[in-house]
Order: sequence, then C-alpha cells, then structure tokens
Amino acid sequence: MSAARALYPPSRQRGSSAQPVTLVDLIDRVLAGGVVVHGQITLAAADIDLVDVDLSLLIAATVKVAAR
Amino acid sequence: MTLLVYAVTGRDAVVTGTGLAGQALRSVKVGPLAAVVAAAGCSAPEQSVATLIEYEGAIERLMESGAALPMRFGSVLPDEHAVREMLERRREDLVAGLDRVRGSVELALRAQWTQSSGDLTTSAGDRSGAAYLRGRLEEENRTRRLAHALSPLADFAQATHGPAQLRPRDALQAAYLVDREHVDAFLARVGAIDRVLPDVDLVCTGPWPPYSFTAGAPV
Repeated sequence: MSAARALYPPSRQRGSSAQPVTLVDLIDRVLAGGVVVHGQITLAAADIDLVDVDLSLLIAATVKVAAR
Repeated sequence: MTLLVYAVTGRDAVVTGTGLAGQALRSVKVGPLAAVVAAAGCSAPEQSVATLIEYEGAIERLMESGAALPMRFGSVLPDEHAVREMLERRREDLVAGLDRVRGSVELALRAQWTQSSGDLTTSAGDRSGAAYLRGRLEEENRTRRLAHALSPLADFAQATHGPAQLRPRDALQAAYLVDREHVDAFLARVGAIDRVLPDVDLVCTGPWPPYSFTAGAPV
C-alpha cells in the first residue's frame, strides 16, 4: 500500500496513511500529474459506462468522471 | 491485450509483484528505458479511491530500486507494440525526465488560512462594493506575502512547481522535487516558516513519486 503520508505537522503522522489531507494530494497527482500518453485514455468509474476520452480534450481532475 | 502503463523507468529497474486486480507487473524495454505495465483486463481501471491508492503503492515500490516517472492514472495502450512505440518516440524526453528525478522525491505543500483569518472580502459591518474591493486587495497582498515567505523552500529543492492557488479553500499549493538526503532539512524549514506565520497552517505530504515533474522544465 501507499507509504506517502502527512510529513508535517508531525502530529498528523498518527493514524492511517489514507487521511483526507493525503488523499487530496494523491488525487491531485495521479489524475492531473504524471506522464501523459498521446492517444486514448479509457476511464471507468463506479457508476458510469466505459468512456473513451480523446486526450485532446481536457480531463478535469475529479474522482468521479462525468459521462459525456 | 490492452495494457495499463504505471510508470517509465530505466531498463534495469526491479519489477515485481502485482498491480491493480492482481495483474502481474512486467517491463517492456526499449533502449535505456522500460515501461512498467500490467494487463488492463476487459475494462479500464475503476477510479475509486482504493484503486488510486493501490496504483500509487505500485509506483512507490518501483521507486525503491531507482528513478521512475509515474504515468497519469488510466494510461491504457492497446498492446505492447504501442508501448514500444511510445518509448521510442519519446525516448529523449523520458531519459531527461528520469535524470531529472533520480534520487529525489516529490513533497506536496499546502498552506491554508487559519479559521480566524478567513475570508477578507466579507466584513461584518460594511457590505459596500468598496469594502469588497478592499478585501480583495488585502487578500492578494497577503497571498503575495505568503508566497514570499515560502520562497526559501525552493533552495532545498531541485525544482519547484508553484506556489499557486488551486483550490478555493487553500491559500497556496506547491510541489517540490527534493533530493532524498535533503528531505529532513526541507521539513525542518517548513516547520520554521509555519512558526512565524500565525495566520497560516502549513501541511506537507509525501514522499510522492514525481508526478509534478515529469514534463520538461517545471512551471
């Protein structure tokens, strides 16, 4: 599992690594950062059908992907 | 068979274990580079928080044996040929990217106004337009002062992304690419800055794979 966690302030280190403060930073990174592949990204979310999104469109960094 | 790409590494990276849905991770190697992939299965990865955490965990494990450039979540390619083609086409950028991040981690910093400082544009008594504009000006001034107060942190980093205001309730956010050996000094400086800013709470999370530093010169 992920080892990234709250490093400062130190008092937040207690508890699981999946604290809200860490989750927000995780979501900002995995959905809006990283190397982007030129081509198609296929996304799925729990409550929508498979969606093929062309990378020329902007993909909003949200946890739930709205159906087009 | 469609492949989910997790990260780009050097060709000697140690790739073990599984990714999402228990699919085995493996390397597709081209020249000095490798793409770490796993079978995507019949549908693309579900975007649940648990899935994102699992994805992140797989990339962190890769970082234990060397530099890794994380892929944006959901990077699916149709087959191994497409993966090779990507590595070949982008060889120069990806090699430069790995050199840039080698030995470093990403640290995320968020600054939030404390509850007592709050929103300067709404004052209890005066609801005039002039008061609103004064409030906006005060907000911009204090944001600028905050950015200046954070600027020494860049001295501890290979590269800096931001600071910028990205979420309405945050004063500022920034990401720093920090050599592993300098992380403690960086955090100590965060603490020192936090202590002299009574109207701000600083939060730093990490160590993250270098999501914010994968593309050329950072902003």
